[in-house]
Amino acid sequence: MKRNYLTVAFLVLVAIILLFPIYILFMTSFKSANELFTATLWPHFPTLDNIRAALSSKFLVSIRTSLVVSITVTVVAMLLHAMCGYALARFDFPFKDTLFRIIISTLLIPSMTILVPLFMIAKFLGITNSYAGLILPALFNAYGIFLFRQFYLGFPRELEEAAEVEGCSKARIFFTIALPLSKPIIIPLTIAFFLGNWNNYLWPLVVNKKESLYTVQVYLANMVSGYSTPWNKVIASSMLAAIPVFILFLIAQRYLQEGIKTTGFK
Amino acid sequence: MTTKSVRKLSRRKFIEALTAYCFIAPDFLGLLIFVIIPIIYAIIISFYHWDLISEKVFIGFGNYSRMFSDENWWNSLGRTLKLTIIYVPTLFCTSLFLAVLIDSVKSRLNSFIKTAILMPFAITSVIASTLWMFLYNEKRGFINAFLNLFGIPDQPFLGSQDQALFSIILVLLWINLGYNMLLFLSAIKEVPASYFEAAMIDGANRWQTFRYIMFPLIKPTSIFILITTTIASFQVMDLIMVMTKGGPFKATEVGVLYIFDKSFNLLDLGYGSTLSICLFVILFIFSFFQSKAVSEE
Amino acid sequence: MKKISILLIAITVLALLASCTSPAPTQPPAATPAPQSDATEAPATLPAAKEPVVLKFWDFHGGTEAQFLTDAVAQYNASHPDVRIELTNVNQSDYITTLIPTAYANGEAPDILFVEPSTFTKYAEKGMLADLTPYYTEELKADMQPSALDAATYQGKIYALPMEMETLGLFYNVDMLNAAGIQPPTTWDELSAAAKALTTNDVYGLVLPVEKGGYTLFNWWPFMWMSGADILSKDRSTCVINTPEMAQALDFWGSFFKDGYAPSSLQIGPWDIGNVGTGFAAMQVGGTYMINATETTYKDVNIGVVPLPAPADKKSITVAGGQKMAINSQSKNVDEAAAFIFWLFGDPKDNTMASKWATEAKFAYPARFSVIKTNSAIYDKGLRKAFTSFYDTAVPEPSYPAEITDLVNDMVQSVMFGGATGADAAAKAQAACEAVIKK
Repeated sequence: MKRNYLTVAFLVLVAIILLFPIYILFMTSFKSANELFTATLWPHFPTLDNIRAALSSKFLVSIRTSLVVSITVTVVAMLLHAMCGYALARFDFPFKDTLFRIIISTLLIPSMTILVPLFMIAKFLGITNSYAGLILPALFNAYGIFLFRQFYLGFPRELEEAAEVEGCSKARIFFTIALPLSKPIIIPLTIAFFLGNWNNYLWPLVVNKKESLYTVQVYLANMVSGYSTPWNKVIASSMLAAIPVFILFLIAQRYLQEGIKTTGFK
Repeated sequence: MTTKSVRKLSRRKFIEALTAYCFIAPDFLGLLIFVIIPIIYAIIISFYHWDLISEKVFIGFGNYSRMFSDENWWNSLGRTLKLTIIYVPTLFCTSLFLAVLIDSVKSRLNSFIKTAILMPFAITSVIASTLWMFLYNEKRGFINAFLNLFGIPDQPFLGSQDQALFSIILVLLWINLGYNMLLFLSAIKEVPASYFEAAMIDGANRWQTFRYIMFPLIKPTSIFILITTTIASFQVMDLIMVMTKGGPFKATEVGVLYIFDKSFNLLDLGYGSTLSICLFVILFIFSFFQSKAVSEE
Repeated sequence: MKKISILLIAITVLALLASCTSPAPTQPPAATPAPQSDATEAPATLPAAKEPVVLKFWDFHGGTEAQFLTDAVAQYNASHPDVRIELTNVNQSDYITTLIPTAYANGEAPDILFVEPSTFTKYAEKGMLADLTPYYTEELKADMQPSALDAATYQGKIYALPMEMETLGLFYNVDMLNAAGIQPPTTWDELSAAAKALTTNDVYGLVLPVEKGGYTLFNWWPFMWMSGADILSKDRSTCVINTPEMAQALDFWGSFFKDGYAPSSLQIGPWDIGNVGTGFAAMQVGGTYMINATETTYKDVNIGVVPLPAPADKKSITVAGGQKMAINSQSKNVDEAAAFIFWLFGDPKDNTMASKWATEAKFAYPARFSVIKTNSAIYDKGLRKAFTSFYDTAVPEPSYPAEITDLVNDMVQSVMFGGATGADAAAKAQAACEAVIKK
């Protein structure tokens, strides 16, 4: 029991250290311009001016664009990758290993190397300056496939085998048994996909030149331009831009707790 | 076995393969169009001199022979390796350690701890860089203010040849620790509790349970984390771009930064592609041996 | 389903192969009549109003400068129904790195763009810019600073329209210098002594740019010239880097970092007077573009400007750089695009817009004599007066091929942070330079 308390105390300390920079981000967004660059732990003259300045209509539009892109990609990619990962983990078929190797190796090339050819393809498909251009190339990512495959490799076979004896088709087993039980992996992946797209910068910057479709990261980067960067506004906007992700974390957090309960049945 | 059952079996096999292809097709097609074809294109232009504007000029293996004698490239790759060798094991061990600790305690604070450790993952690398520059600043940064309390003089961190790369690794750890911990935690939760109970009854201590029960069972996740963080460590760019632009004097000029510089600043996309392919091959070998090593464990 | 996808792949592959040969940068002769019907437009049978020519224009400015350009485009569109200019604002570092090159490779580059000394030669030598020589009238050429015109010329042709001449000086916090009993430095020795005396536990003596790149070189050139050193000979045929003067300038520049009087990492960009404004440093090398911020954001801080300090026996020199407007050689509508930029900054009869840019949107020296003449009152206001007093010492920022720029960058960086002596760095850069020239 005593060991339990010590461990918890240690973990809380780690948590506080990791949270400190985020505290600085929040706190700095309430600092007045004069105080912005001093290492004080709380604002002596707290102000809402920074937040007010940050909440421009362009900023809100960029938040909306980012939400649309991130949510669409997360939902669609999750299903595609789960199917693909499951097939690679559980099905037996010719060229399985080759296909898997090809998929994995797409992770190994730095994204800027394919920037120019990818733009050519987007232009050819006529999807530049559109939601399709922001969303389609972001959907296909070997990371999710790989993670699902690894997850299903470690998934207990017993349940599926029972269903198979009863004559269920493989596809049905996936949709009725494997997928609903994939929550422990879907939660972290939701976080990763949503975040990856929320934070994506280089591709949205290059593929879209329409101001109404700027994502929030492109909007933020444009703020740091010019000879006199409004740092208090930048910090406040950065803080606000992180809030949707924090909310997602807090929601995901509740389901993580649930994950523990389902394990009890196995 | 009768011929009928053989036919039935092969029919089942056929349906299984067909289902598999249907499951894989959408993702694979997407990857083909948006990733694989661009990679093939990059391989093709690695045999050309191309400044993005003029006609491409075929130069055979010219870019490749240039690469082998390009001292700056190998030096920058060396920095990438240094970053990988420090960052990947540190991240792997700390996130696994934290996951095991969190899993082992029962406390109402558990969800707070998990969320808190995960929080930094929500911060974009561009914002994280801006934020950490507030922390790392030499004369008015928070970290130096803290160190001064213990009589330690101001450290230059990002402005120092010796400290810059470590300072960047620390930010990487800060961002990614929580997420990888979460992946480990999910994997640990998949291990049926009965396995541990059985081990405990057999008198195994905590280390033994971890080493012989848990670790082998979470192997797929371990392989995944090892490989993806290695890949990610080879491709760290945003953070360095904002914080140091590869400086001070190349101290943080890692491979991808050098590729970026060659491709877009010096407008030599053919050579940039050649270097990317070199990186690709190295990563391929790296991850091959990693998964080998973990599997044979 | 499958067939469609196979078809899609096949088409994509074919398209890629076909697009391997990027469109050659041909341009219609300057006299071609304007109307341009795009192949994708609706059938021309409808006798409706003629579609306006669309011109893409990418900008990276912020604040009042971006506002000026937005307003100017709106004004131009309103008064020219046959043309529609589409202005897009992006950020500066991506502008010159990823955005412009990627767009050019795909034939998607804007019709109108900005170039600066660090990109001008690179773009001009690769044929990315349209020849603007025919659009320059003799009257405009006569109104243009000869050095500005030189800086827009490549192999005898003019490829850009200069709009500003930004010069450098030494900004300082008047109160901090007074408190330390220090006069604003005029020589290198005085600058070193002042930086040393002003450096405390909380404040740096002097801010210089730290990162490898065009902005650091922009600041470095005047120091190099004051010492009497240079990169290439006058005819650009030989490298003249390895001289004692170069070593001296490098050692001087590097000493601020080695001695800890200048920060080796900057949170606020070196182009932002915030370094002095927020009390981070007592002195900062900076340019005319900082003046607006000293009068607005940092109006409560007492900031002064003096010419860049020079070696004891030499004269002070400053550098003049700045943006220029240019037109994409791939553009289908070079004439219309040229009409716009010359309306904006190159109308010999009317310099209203050029004046507005250099005096209201920002503060910079215009590239045209007439602008200074019509606005003489403004050029003597506040800190501008100091800049005006040493304006005639300005040398245009040189524009070298990318490989040369790269090796000069490495030379300066190696002295700042690599522990190299000026002499060693200069010798190494000389060797690298000779290898480039030979090619």
